[in-house]
Parts: sequence; C-alpha cells; structure tokens
Amino acid sequence: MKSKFLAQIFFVLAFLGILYGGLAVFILKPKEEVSYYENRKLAQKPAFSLEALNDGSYFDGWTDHFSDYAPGRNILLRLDAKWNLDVFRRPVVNEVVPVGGKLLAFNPVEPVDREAIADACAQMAYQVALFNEQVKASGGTFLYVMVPGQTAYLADHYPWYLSNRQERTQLEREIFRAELEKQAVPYLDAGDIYEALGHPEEYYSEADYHYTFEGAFAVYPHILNRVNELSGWNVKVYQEDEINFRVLENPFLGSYLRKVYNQWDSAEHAMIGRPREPVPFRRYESGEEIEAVCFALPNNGWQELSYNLYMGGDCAETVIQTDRPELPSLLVFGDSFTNPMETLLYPSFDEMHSLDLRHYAEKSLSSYAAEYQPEVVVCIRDYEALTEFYGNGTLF
Amino acid sequence: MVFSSLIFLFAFLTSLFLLYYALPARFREGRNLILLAFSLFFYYFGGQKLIWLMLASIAINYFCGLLAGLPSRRWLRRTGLWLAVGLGLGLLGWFKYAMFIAGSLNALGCRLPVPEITLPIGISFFTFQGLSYVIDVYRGDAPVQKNPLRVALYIALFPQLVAGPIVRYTTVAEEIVSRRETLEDFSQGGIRFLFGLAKKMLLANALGEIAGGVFAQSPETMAVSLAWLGALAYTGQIYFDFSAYSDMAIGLGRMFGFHFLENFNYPYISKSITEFWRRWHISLSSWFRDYLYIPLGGNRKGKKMQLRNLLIVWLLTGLWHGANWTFVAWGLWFGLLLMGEKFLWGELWEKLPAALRHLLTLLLVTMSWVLFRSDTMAYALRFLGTMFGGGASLWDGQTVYYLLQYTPELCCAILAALPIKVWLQTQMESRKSMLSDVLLTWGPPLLALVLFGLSYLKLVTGSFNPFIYFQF
Repeated sequence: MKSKFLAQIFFVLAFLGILYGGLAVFILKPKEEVSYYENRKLAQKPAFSLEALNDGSYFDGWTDHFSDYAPGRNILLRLDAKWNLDVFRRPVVNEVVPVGGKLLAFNPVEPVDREAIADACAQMAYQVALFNEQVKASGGTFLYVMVPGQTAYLADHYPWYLSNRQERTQLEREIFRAELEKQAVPYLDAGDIYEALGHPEEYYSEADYHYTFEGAFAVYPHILNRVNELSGWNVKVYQEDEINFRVLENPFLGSYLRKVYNQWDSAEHAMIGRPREPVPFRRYESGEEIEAVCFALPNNGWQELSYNLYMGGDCAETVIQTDRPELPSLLVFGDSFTNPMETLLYPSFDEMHSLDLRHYAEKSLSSYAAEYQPEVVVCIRDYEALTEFYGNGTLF
Repeated sequence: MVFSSLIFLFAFLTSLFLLYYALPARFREGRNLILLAFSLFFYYFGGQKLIWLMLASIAINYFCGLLAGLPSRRWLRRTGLWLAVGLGLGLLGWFKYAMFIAGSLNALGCRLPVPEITLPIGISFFTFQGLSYVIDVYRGDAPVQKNPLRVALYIALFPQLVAGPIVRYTTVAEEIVSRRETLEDFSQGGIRFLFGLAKKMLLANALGEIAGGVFAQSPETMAVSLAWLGALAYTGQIYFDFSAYSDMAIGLGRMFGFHFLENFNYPYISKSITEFWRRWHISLSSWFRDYLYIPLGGNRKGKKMQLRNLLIVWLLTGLWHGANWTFVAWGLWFGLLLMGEKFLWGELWEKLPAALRHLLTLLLVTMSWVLFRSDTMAYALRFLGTMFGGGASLWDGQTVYYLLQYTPELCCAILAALPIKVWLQTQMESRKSMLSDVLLTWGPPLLALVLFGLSYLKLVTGSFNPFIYFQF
C-alpha cells in the first residue's frame, strides 16, 4: 500500500516537475532568434490584434513560438538525428540519404510522364531561344550550361530501393538538349565533360547538392573556350598552373550535413582558387560597394564553412568590375552553381554581373539584359532545374 | 489545440492544473467554472468564431433538457426532445452535409448553389453528446440539470470535446456535481494520458507517414506490396491515432476526477466483424444502438425490419464519419458484413479455425479502411484493385524503403495492437511475488515517464502531427 502511494507521489511529482520545469525553462531561457542548423529565423511571440485573434493566426503564432523554443530543442534535434543515423540506421534521415560515405538528397517517388516532360522541355527551350535571340540581337553571345546536381552525379550511390531520379533526369536531359538544338541555342552539358574525365568523385560534394570547386574548375575552361568560339572574343582561360589552389582546413558543412545537424562523420574540406597574378576588382551587391572579395573566408581554422564560401552565397545582384574596358562584359545567372564558377570567370572579363532571379525582383532578366547589353551571357542550371519555370527559370 | 502539442502541455495544462487545484475542493462550482472556462478557451483556440456554435449547442440542449424533463406535460417533453433533435441535427446537417448534399444533387443535374462552409471541429461529437443528455432526460434515465453551467461543462468538457469518446450524460452527471479528485486518479490519469501521447507520437504519426505517402500516389503505378503496406499502415494509424486520443481524453478526465467509459478494447484481435464493433469506438456504436437501433425496433419486429434498421444505422454511422460517398460506402460495407454474419454465414464462420477467422476479419477491416481513407470511390476501387493483383508489379523499392525506414515503429505497432499489457498484468497479479508487486507498482509510472521523454523528443523534432478524428 505504502509502495503504491510512493509510486503515485513519485509519478505526480515527476510529471508535474517536467511540465512546470519545462515551462520555467521556456520562460526564463534567453531566446536566440535564428536556428543555425535549420538556417531559418525562429518564430517569435505573435503580435496581438483583434484580427489576428479572430482569424486564428494569433494562436498559430503562439503554437509555432512554443515549438521553436521548446526546452532542449537544439540538443534533442541533434540527438534525434544521431539516433536515427547510428542506432536505427534509417535509410533516410531528415530527407537525407546516408549511404556509401555520402549524404544524398531523398527523392520522393514520382511517376515519369514522358509527354509532360517533353512539353515542359519544349516550352522552356522556346523561352531560352527567345532570350538567346534577344542577346544576339544586341550583339552578345549566349551560352546555356547544364550541370548535374549531386543527385544525378552520384545516382549510382543510391540503394536500389530509393529513387535517384535517373529515369526522369535522363529523359529531361535528352529532350531538353534536343529542343535546344532544334532552336539553335548554344549549350554545354557538363555531364559530358565529367564523363570524358572519368567521372571523378571529388567533383561533387559528399554532403551538399553542388559540385566542388574542382568540379566547377573542370567545366570552367570548356565554358570560356565555347564562349570564345561562339563570340570571336579571345578571353583568357586560366590553366591549372595559373591558379593558386588551397584546401581550407575548416570543416565543410554541406547543406545535407546541416540537415542532419552535423551528426554524420564528414572529413570534407572546401577548396578555393585564385589567379596567381591577382586581378584587382571592385564589388557591388545590389548597388552598394562592399569588400572586394569573392570568398567568404573565416578568421580561424575551426569555424564551419558552407557553400556560402563562394561569393558569399546567393545574392540578388552582384557586380564585379576589373576596369579593363578592352575585355567584354559578362552576365551570369542561375542558382548556387554559379557561385564557385563566378570566382573563376570574373578575372577574364571587364565587368561581371551576376543575377539570382530567386532573389532579384527589380526587373525581369530580359529587361535587365536589354538595359545592360552584356557581350556575353552565361546561364548555369542543374539537371533538376531544367524545366523549372520559377526563379531562374523565369526569363521574361 | 491538440493534446500532442507543446503549447497544450506547457501552457494550457500547467495553467489549468494551477488554477483548478489552487481552489479548495469544497468550491466545486468554482472548480467547474474554471474547467468550463478553459474548455471554452480550448475550443476557441481551434475554432475561433465558431465558438458561437458551441454556445448555441449548449443553449439548445439546456433549454430542451428543461422541457424534456418537465414532470407532467407529455407534449412539452416531446417538444423539448424533438426540438433538440431537430436543431442539433439541423446544425450538424448544415455545417457538415450541406456542401455534400448540394454537390451530390448537382452531379445529378440540379443547379444548386454549393455553400462554402467551414466544418466546426468536433461538431459530430458534441452534437451527439448534447442529444444523449436530452434523450436521457426525456426517457427519465437522467435527472434534468437546471444549472446551465453544469450542462455547459458536460457538453464542452475539453478532454473529449473534439474527438470523443462520446460521453453519456448519465456517465458523468453525478461527477459534475460531486466528484472527488484523488492522488490515485491523478496519477492513473496522468499515466493513461502519457501512454496515449506515446501512441500518437511514436506509432500513429509514423504509420501515418507511410499511409500518407502511399495514398498520395496513383494506384495504377503502385506495386501490390506497396498498396498492402499502405492499407495496413492506415489500419494501424487510425487505431493508434483514435485510441490515443481516447486514452488521453480518459486520462485527462481522470486527472480532474471524471471517469469516462472505455472506447477501444484491442479491436484488431477480433475474430468477427460483430466482435470488432464491440471493441472499436464503443461509445459511438453504443450511442447508435441505444438512441437509434433500439428505438427503431432493433431485432424485435421481425427479420425484415431488423435488416432495415441495420441498414439505416450503418448508413448513418458512415455518414457520421464524413460527408463523402466513401464514408457512406464504408458504413454500408460494415452493415452488409454484419447482416451477413447474422443471417448468412454466421454459423459457418464459427466453425472456421480461430486464426483464419481472425485473419479474415482483419482483411475485411483493412479493406474498409481503404474506403475510409480514399478521397473518392473511384480511387478506393482502384486501390483495392491494386491490392488484389492489379498493381504495376508485385513488389517494389518503395515497399522496401518504408519497411526499412519504419522497422522499429512497425514492430512496436504490431505488439501494441495486441493485449500484451493485459496479459502481462494478469500474469504478474497471479504470481503475487515481491518482484511482480514492484513491477506492477513501479512499472507503469516509470514506463509512462520514459514514453513521455520519447514523445517529447518526437514533439520537438517532428512536424507531422495531425489528428485524424478532428475532421469528424
């Protein structure tokens, strides 16, 4: 009887202790505004208004606030990832596939609709062709560069039972290339280049969607050679021995490693490269002059680096001026794949403008190009984005 | 607000415990008032403007209850009863079925405007609870309650407000007036609540991810194995989700001194559909039995009338779950199976080996959940077609992925669907050793706290958290 009473007292005290202890921690603990690993702002206390009260958003705001500031949240998120990776060994953890020393993207299964893909490819190629005509009409040269994403590049690493999107990717790639050819749009497929080089694994990050600096450098000369061939310009193509390569000692936190809260063993380090003969430049971001650097380097050897290392990450509009009017101007647009490539491209041009249309909203790409009149335009898109009509797929 | 949310645990529940237990037990009405205020806030949190509907439902049932309880005027009592039935079901009909009826008639060629109506959460539950009060008063099974706050507390009591169980007025009438909160009830209620929370967070949500992933796909592109896995996962999800809510409701009720009746009793061990419905959503099936089937005549007026009555009850049971033809078909499916068991194959069924009866029952129930989960009848039929051989292949990678991804949850779900806990408890109680005493006393609270830790981990890390029965 006494034992039963003790057990009841123990349970009630423990249960209430957890509830009130949790509430106390929630109230008293200093609140960070940003979640580092999730790369997002945490939900703050909602502002009260009668409208918000009536439409439910006030309560929703509190629910989100409680979720984001749950006591022990950061530790538990890491514990959960570790547990799922190492104890349960789940095939997919936080939408990431840990397999064969890599972290790959999890791809939900979706039926491959050949007709829809063909239709989308034709539409996108038509848009690209119109833009190509616009650039040509103003005396410029346009080159469309398609690059594999990590999913496509490391497709063979996926376990057989998970989708690697290969069927879809191959189909999109083939049809889109055929459409570009039909529309006479100059293009370069980095996949062919990598195949010819023996498909080296180090060209793609082990825990991020993007190519590594080595991967970008392998494609870089082909881009400029093709631009020279198409335009008649003879811009300098830096050779390997003209670049100072450096592997940074800092740990590299790829986006997939971030998704599993850095609980997966990774020995990846990022590389950068600068011309042996420096090319001085000024850099502007959305019109404002900023420090003239194209690598966001840390001040120490232990700070984690992300893909933002290259060009400081995705920016709406970046302008780099090298003040050599005898060289052509360049406009680059695309997703994050453009970032390491830009660090290699700018030394060969008088001026480089870079747009990321996911963030740039001032005018359309077409209007921007019409005003700026660049001599060379390079679009870099990955295989999975070939038929995306939003962001960098919106040209007009 | 759902029970499995941090705001409920750390803000709502802590504030309620504090205010409720700060008031001495002798201030019963004060405690009731606090419980009522929190219950109405609980509803307002999720439904905002639709709180008026809850208040209207309380008012209707209170006044109709007064009329239905008048001692001598029979016609007034009848008026009270039929007013409650008419208004209660009228509101339910408008909010839940108007769009469905208009849409269905338009499909037949009518040109009716289809109203845009937001379904108030828990309307089916609190409507049925309100009706049970008035009917019980009319029948003389329960005394009329003249204090409107007590009627309001009965209808709006937050533990069972939005997803049941449907608590009869007779079950809690006395406890509303004079219950006793005890340490034992509080600790047993807390343990029950945490077991329910764990069922929801650790099992139902994981199974829901499998079912959600499978049912989002076109049946034609699915492998047979995947369709079966999806159907079985949903079979598990709906049980663990709904019974978890009932566990939490019963547990919460007990923490405040209420003793609700059980709503589930290991339904998936049933060996017939009749047995299944004695173990599944007991409060609903007994509501329909006592307030519809028996008043219609039950089995007392010949086979023909019994068949008619069964058909009506199961048609309405289906419709109660949702305004869609899939729910109608689901109800009729069970109606037909029960009629078959009663009048056609019942005797033969009893002669089959127990394991086979169990498997066949589980198969029939699983098939019913395909109807229940599908958005349209066409989808349900195509899905069933895939399950029975019409798939793109027999086996595929997705099935393997889901099995590997959710191995721990699937294993635990199978164990948790069986009455292992009951068996263990019986075994230990019969041993009467010191060890069994210690395990019986300390096992449940310790296990509940461990499960609370795991549930909290999932609450913090998971984003997949919807309760299925909120839609009813």
